[in-house]
Amino acid sequence: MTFMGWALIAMGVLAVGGAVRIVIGPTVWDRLLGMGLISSKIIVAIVIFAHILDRSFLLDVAIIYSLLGFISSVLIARFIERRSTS
Amino acid sequence: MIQQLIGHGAILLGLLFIATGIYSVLAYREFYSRVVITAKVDTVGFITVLLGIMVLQGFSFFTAKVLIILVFEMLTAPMSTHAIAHSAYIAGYRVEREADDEQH
Repeated sequence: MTFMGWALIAMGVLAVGGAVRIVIGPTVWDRLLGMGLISSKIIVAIVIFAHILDRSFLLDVAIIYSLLGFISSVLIARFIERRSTS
Repeated sequence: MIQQLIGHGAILLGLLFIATGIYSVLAYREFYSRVVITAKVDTVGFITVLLGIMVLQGFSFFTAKVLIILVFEMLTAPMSTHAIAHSAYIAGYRVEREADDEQH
């Protein structure tokens, strides 16, 4: 396996680490944190994958994913804040 | 040759940072310290890996796109972790007194 292959595998394992936080997270905010973690791992994995294939159109996927990840985590955080105080 | 060395070294270093971030997110018991760790260590690892890839790719459109991702993530990662911690605090999740009693 090349160095980049191992980097991809490492990102996969780290994303699973983020998923573990989602599963065992006591509070709902831990789960939201785990989601943010996983999305940043996936973005790095996409960038490494684009570097391996040397295709720059894959990076648009990473840009859009980063946008969606950010917006969704902020909106969910705002939603949780209102719902739990009621 | 030097470009390869620096690029691969930066990627390795970034992976180490991200591994540290993931370990400490799982190891810490209290929520708010986890949020700080995620905001800091994880983002630094993210930045280092992307810088390593930019070094490997040299000057091209690829690097410009990776730069866009890098700048965007540097802006938004602190914001999203702030939103999470802020929502936890507003919703009344306090850790100091009762460790895990005030969960909603």
